[in-house]
Amino acid sequence: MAGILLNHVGKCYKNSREYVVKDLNLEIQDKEFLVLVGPSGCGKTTVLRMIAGLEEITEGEVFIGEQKVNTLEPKDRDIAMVFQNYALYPHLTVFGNIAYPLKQRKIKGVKYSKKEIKKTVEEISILLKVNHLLSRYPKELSGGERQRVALARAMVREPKAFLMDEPLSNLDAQLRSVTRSEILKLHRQVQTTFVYVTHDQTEALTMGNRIAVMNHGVVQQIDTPYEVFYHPANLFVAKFIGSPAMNFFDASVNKNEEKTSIVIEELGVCLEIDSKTPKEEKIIAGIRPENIIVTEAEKNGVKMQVDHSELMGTETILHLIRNDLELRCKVPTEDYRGEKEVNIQFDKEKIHFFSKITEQNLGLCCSGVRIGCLPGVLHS
Amino acid sequence: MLLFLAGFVIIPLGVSIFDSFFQVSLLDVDSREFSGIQNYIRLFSDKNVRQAFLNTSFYVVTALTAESVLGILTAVVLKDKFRFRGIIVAILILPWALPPLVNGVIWKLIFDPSIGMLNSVLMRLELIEEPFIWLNNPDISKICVIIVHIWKMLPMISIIFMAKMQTIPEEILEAASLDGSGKFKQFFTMILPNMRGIFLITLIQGSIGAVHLFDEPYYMTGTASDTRSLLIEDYLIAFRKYDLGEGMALAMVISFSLLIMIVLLMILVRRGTKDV
Amino acid sequence: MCKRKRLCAVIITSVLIIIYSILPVGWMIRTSLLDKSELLKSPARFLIKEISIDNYKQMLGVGEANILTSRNFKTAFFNSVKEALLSTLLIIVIAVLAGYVFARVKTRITQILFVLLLVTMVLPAYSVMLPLYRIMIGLNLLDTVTGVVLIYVSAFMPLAIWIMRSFFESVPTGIEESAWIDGSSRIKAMLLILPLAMPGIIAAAIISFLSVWSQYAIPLVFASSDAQPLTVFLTTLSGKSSVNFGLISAGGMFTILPPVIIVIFLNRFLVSGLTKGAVK
Repeated sequence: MAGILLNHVGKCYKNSREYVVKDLNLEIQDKEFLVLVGPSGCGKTTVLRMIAGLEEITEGEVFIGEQKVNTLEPKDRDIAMVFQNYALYPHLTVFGNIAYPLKQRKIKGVKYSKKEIKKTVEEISILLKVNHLLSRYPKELSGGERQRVALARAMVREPKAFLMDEPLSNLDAQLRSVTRSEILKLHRQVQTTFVYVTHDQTEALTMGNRIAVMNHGVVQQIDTPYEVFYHPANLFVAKFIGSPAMNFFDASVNKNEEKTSIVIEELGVCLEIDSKTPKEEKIIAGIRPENIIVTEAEKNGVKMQVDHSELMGTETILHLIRNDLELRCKVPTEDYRGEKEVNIQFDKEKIHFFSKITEQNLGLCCSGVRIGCLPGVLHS
Repeated sequence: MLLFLAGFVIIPLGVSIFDSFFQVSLLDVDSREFSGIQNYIRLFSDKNVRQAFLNTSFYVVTALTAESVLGILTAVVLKDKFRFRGIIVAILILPWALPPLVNGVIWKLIFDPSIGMLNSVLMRLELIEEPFIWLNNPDISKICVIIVHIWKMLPMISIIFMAKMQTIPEEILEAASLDGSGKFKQFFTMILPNMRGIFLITLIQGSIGAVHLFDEPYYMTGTASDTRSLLIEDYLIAFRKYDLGEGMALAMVISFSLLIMIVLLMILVRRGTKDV
Repeated sequence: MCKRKRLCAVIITSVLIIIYSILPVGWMIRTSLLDKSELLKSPARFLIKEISIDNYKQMLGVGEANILTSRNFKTAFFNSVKEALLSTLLIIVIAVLAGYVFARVKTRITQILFVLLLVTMVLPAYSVMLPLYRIMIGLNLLDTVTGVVLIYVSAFMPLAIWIMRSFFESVPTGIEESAWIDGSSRIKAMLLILPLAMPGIIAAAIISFLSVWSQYAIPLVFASSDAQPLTVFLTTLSGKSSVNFGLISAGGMFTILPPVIIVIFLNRFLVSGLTKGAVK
């Protein structure tokens, strides 16, 4: 069992000068379940493969436990990987697949005898509920079964860490959630480091001890799911995490002798700030759909037209427009009667402000929301 | 209408086969006698035929072994992309595309005792003092002939193996690598087992090719009995001795033994790669 | 570290392959460029100082040459060309149609027919060679271009059909189905997807052409003088007493001309034709 450390790791392919992964620093704690999440092409799979030894490390160092593994062959790194397409050996039975790692060479100095192999394989297969499939071939198995066999094959060696490359993406929705909890259960049982790659941010939020959000080969933020969700470090993380996505507005900074306020012109809303004043004049404000409150028609709120609504079960997502501005908000389904116009309010504690230039979270606190603060811009 | 066209095609083929069955050496063409299995008996007592049989057996065994081993080795090197691979494969395929007779010409030029390349090089390197007559020597000449045949067949076999190896998903090899097997082990546990089917096909095609050896030995050594293949023997019986009956008998024997060989190969390959 | 070993293996193998294919052929080229006196020098030198195209002149009948040789050569050359082109043409036409049928119409009968076709491919052609001889004599087709073309067509057609069938199978039926809905007949629809099957057609054509061009044993029996192709012609150049290797080499050069052209320019199709059938 070991932690994994990536120090200033960079990767570029031979033909291009572009860096797929750039100056990446990542410290994965021993026994933790870390999720690497990001859009396609952000480099997360590349990072995983570099840890595994399947990709060359152009710059930087990778440590598994105390050992620097940059030049170490995959077979000597003592880690297991579950591929997106499972990569089961088609010409071997399930038994053969699971037994294969044990047959290769002395694992940690112990050579397994035929009996021991049989026993170990059977134990693992019972654990993963594939023991009735031992004599079948991969092509005869369903997607979920193949997945479990791939997991069994990874687990059988008791490696230092488990690497998973989007293992759930080939399963149907229901199987996905079942398997998700099974993987977490496994993690609790084996008490080993898990590095899990996915492009699905919901999966990331539900599964990880910590999640690392990646984009363009750089780690944008690494923290617990709670922190990443409630305190996104930059615009990208805020946009990527959370479904439906956060709403963003252009805003300008209004400096006054006493107070500073942020004005969202399109909505006619002024937000009072009582922390430091940002240097820039134009910034971006963001608020999640969950934090937009729909109020009664007559109350103090910004009037919006309802473009269409999406029923999501107990909650409904309303797509609202006003002139050219679009935003989404969530309402409890029972409260929505199909109105064409609604008034919205904002939860002042949940508004985020981002620099337009650096895209970083400015860390400002909003102390008050005033609707209709712009002269000439009435709230009707 | 299309079915009709397809049928049109099958008929000449069918007629040929039909015809040959009806004339299965039970008739001696020239005198239309019913000679029964006399032709066959004559075949087996003919020492030329026996020699030709031995020659062809040698050809088949040598060819299959060399083609399989060298074919796989070459394929392993060629299977991963590299910059000039296209050109190299194009160059490689040249011997296969040429008429085997011309291959005979080419190599006869090389093996020629006085002006051939081989002797010239050897003499220059002072490895031999006098020109060695390659194609006259009873044992060496067989080796020379089969080298020419292997020279032709190897490219095709390598390329077929290479293509099949490329269908093995890279992921499987990666998984094997993580599971602890090095490149060498991967070859035996991952690549070879997946080649079972192709291996069989190439063995079959290879044996068909080797049994049908004609052009190369005929040109290089003429009708010398040391290198005479079964097919040459058949040709000589039918068209020099004008003994069509015996010729047909031999043709039947050749086809039949080929069939048996193919069946044997299928059984062998199935059994040999059963447990991996 | 592993990459370096691999690079070494690749380079060594590539060099070996180049030597493998080009050296022997190169030797023949060299021999063809010698005149009679240079030829007989022993031991032979690789690099020759004076190139002479005498042998080629002889073949083509230029200058002071043996008229008979060049006339025979020209006849043989054109025979080869005629036989190969005709056979290929016929084979392709039939193979495309038959291949399409076998790929699209999957009934009991067609399955059986196809298996039968395959079996004939496995069976050596020589077992039918002798009865065929009698048929040819009977039909008066011995030693004619027509005769051998018929033989070649029936011999190499199964392979071509096999290639065409697998190519057609890899074309999704969607295009034809929309054509049918739009009212075109089956044949028109087939013609529609023909361009898609073009690589397969070219591959089958090349393989058929090469097979016919390379034939020796069959024409030796069935086309030994009037209709003799280049391969047979080459063997006639060896006299009883002396063998003029220079002349033969020049002849050889002409004989390998079409294959070499195909290898250089149509290589892609050659390889794909080879591998398609085998890998399936």
